[in-house]
Amino acid sequence: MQSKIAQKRTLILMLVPCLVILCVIIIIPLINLFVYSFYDYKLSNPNGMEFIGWKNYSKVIKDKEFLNSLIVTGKYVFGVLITQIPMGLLFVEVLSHIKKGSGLIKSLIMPPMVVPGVVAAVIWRLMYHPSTGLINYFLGVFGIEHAWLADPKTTLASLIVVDFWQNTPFVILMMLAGRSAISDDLYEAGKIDGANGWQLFRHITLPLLRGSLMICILFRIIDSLKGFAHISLMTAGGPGNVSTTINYYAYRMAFTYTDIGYSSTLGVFMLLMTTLLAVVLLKIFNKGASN
Amino acid sequence: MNRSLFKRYLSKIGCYAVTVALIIFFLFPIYYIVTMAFKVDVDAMAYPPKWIFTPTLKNFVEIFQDGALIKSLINSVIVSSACVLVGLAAGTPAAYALSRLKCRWVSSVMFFILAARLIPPMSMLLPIFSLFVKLNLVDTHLGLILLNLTFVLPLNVWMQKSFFDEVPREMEEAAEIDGCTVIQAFVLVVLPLIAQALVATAIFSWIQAWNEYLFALTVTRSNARTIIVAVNNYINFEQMQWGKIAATSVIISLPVMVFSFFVRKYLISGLSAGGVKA
Amino acid sequence: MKPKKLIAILAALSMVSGLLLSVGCSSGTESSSSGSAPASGSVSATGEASGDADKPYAGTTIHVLLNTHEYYDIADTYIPEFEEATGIDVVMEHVERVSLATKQEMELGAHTGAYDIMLIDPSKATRYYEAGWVEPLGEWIASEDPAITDPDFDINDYISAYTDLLTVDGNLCGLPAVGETTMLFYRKDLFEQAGIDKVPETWDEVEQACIKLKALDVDAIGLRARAGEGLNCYIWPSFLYAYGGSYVDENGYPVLNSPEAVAATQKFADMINNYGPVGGSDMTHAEHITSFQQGNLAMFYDASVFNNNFSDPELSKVTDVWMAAPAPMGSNGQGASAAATHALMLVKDSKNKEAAWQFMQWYTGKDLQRRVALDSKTFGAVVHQSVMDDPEYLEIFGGHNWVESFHKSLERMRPDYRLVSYAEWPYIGDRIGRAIQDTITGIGTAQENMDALNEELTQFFIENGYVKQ
Repeated sequence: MQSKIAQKRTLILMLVPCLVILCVIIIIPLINLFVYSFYDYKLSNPNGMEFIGWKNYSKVIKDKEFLNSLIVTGKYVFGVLITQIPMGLLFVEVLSHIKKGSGLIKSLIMPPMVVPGVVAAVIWRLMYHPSTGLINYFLGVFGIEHAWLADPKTTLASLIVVDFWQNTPFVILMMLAGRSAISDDLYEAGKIDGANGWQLFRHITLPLLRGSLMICILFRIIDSLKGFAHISLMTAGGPGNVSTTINYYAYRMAFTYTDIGYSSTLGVFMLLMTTLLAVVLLKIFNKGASN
Repeated sequence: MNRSLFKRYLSKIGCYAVTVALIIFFLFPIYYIVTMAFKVDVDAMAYPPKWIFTPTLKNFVEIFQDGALIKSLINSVIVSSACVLVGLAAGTPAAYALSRLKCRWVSSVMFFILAARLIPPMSMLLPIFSLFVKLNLVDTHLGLILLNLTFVLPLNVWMQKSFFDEVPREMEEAAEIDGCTVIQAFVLVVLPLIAQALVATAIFSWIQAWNEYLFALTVTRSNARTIIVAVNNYINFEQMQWGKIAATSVIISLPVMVFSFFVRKYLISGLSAGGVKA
Repeated sequence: MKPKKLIAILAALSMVSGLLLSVGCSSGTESSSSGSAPASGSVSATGEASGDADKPYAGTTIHVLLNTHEYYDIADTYIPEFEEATGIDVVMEHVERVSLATKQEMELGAHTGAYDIMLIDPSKATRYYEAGWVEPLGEWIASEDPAITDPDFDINDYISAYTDLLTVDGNLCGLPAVGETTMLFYRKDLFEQAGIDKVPETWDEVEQACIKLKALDVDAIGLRARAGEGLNCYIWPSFLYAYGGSYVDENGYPVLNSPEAVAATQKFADMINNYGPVGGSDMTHAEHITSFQQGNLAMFYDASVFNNNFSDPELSKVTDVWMAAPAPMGSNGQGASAAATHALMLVKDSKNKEAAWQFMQWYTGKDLQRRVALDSKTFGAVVHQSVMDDPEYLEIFGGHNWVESFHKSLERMRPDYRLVSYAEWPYIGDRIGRAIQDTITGIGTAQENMDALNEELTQFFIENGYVKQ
């Protein structure tokens, strides 16, 4: 049997390739990101970069558009989580009562996840069309004809629906994975003790789904923060700036106006925020896990 | 007795109703775009919608007349496959190590790996492009694979680790007492247990790499262009070739869907048997 | 094979191939290793041009990066002829326009020189020129050397509105390939039904027509509403100028909150909200075109290039009943129409400028344009006067009053229809577009939005040196 030290060494060696690859790809862009944020760097400026210290940062803090994009992003991520995570849990419960055909069902919900973001955006933009879209076609039965994307009051909600369509299958599948690791014996024991469905869910399913829940919430937050294709193709950040998330705002700065310096500053803010969020989330889940 | 039986039937019908509703919700837009791909534009945009129509293959034919499309398809396959393989090859051992090492720095490393996924891609584009120009990696498969790994690797590591965490150490410890090294125990004992979960991760990795647009657009030119960039040309609202847009969407999505369908046996049971039943 | 064994083998294989790949062999085709500009293949070991005098550039490869467009789809099929005649190998790449900007500017900003020809249009010309990315074409055009510039090449045959828009500081920055102006498309059958016997020539008359058409329960008019320098800010200026407004005063200060400008904006918003389709406050030309094709829209004021969208029976239900009219003006004869073009530019970092210039002349030249128009019978947005006057061309495209309306509208164009001579036009235009769309959507009144807009732009113009102090 290998010595403990040899074992530990092997384990660390197994870690190396992955870290090397990531370091190579991340470090340099990360350094550049921070460096550019201190420069006035516009791609089309023939004089190149000009060091301006903290100017970009103070501009960002005073930027009303930026503050608005923070709020929009917050609303969007909140909407995403509050619809997708509960639905994931609900569907897991529902599916546990259905024995037959569960395999087929699971494969039937996969397509939205597989389809690229741009395709989803195309489909839903067509369906949301006020006068020729299928959504208003079906809702026409109830006499509803609404401009879902054009009306600033419903734009964000409409986008959240598309995100829901595209990403809930992932949440469901991840939770199903976690759920099936929970032994049926636990549920039997619970039932014998007289617990009803809700109690079984709350005291057995939920705690033991901790791992899956954490990954779902974490990855969904990160990915919805980076979400781009939907917004770009469906609303272009509008109407006004109602759907301009911070990521879309950074994109516009970088690629429509090629203001690399300012966009990098926005990128730094984004990175700090997502890092903070991730750290907080992990702390919450790790604390809970050790209970 | 009757009352509780009735309640059980009711809840079961409720469950089926919810399931059916969800499935219709998820699948209807797919049906919509697929049928659009087989319609002529004037039919595709007709309102009230034409549920019954004369199908045509025109859109697909016109798209495939672009000779570069086959090449871009091959490029996509190469890049996605490589990402899946490297993701598994580098990510799985790393996840195992992180799961088994009892050190304080494990969570920091996990976080560093996740950080790769936190960096906004927009902000990475220009520095990456400049770097690639210097390293001669522009328009190469290798360059694109490396870029895609920034999100495929974290996905692999985080998912696998959660599965490895489910596997009780008694199994490897038993093997190690019998004389296995760490690697032998890993490959012969632990891996087979989460084998089917590996397939699930592979599918997610493939999907992500296949659908990635921004990096592929920037760092490829004519040699390494992937199919999603090639067909994205049709997906814009300036030229409004709806039939082609739909046909394009079907073409991009088809390979992944077919692949997922064939391995669904592994996927379903893989995700369902993520670990050893406690 | 048992899953366990399969997985073990796969795992081993993965490890091996993964390690191989990550050690960095540059896979792909042989030519994929070049990240920098392709070597100028026309120069042999001794440094002299190879091939006979007829084909001085034989063996060169040029790389072209353009957007996607119907013209290229057709013109590209003729490229083998060009390659045959000149010995130049042409690698064409097309990327849809929005993504193209990202890709282009990254390559240009890094001065890779990987592409010899790229897309340029009026909204980018100033910025690209000032960034030093464009090779000015003046000297190339004036060259007497037949090996450089074909003696038959006639720059004056290019519609001057287009070349003017591409000229910065007296330097022509690109050769137009596709061009357009704005005009009014309308349904003659619906006009008859509604009792409109005179084709509207002013915006007031357009509004009168809208009122009558509304009674027929159709959407009366389609106008781009979504914010954007190339979206609502491509149509709105027609109203601005029709109402006697302007962007700036004689000292360069923005006057977008003048009574005229505010009135124009209000009218623009009203027409969209009162006479346009439901949800029109966020629409672009895409939705309106589809609507017109399906027969649900009575009038559409937008780019001239959409004539084929309406004539093609596979795309449109109104092939026989659509007509064109020149861009409407204001009641006192003021007003303007838009003009725009997609053009090919010669990249300054290119290492194969001569060969690229050959291609540019041919690809945008009157011969090829004429052939494309006549052979395809669908592409009419040519940039050459002589082609538009050609009787065969007129036979195909002259119907629906389209050609006449085109010429009349083009006369009414003005180069400052959009302030494209300002390098930051994309930002300025987007900001103006925002103010307009907010007014349409009802976020603030026209006066409030234009006041806020004007304040911001005044600040911006001062900071960037656009005003006379």
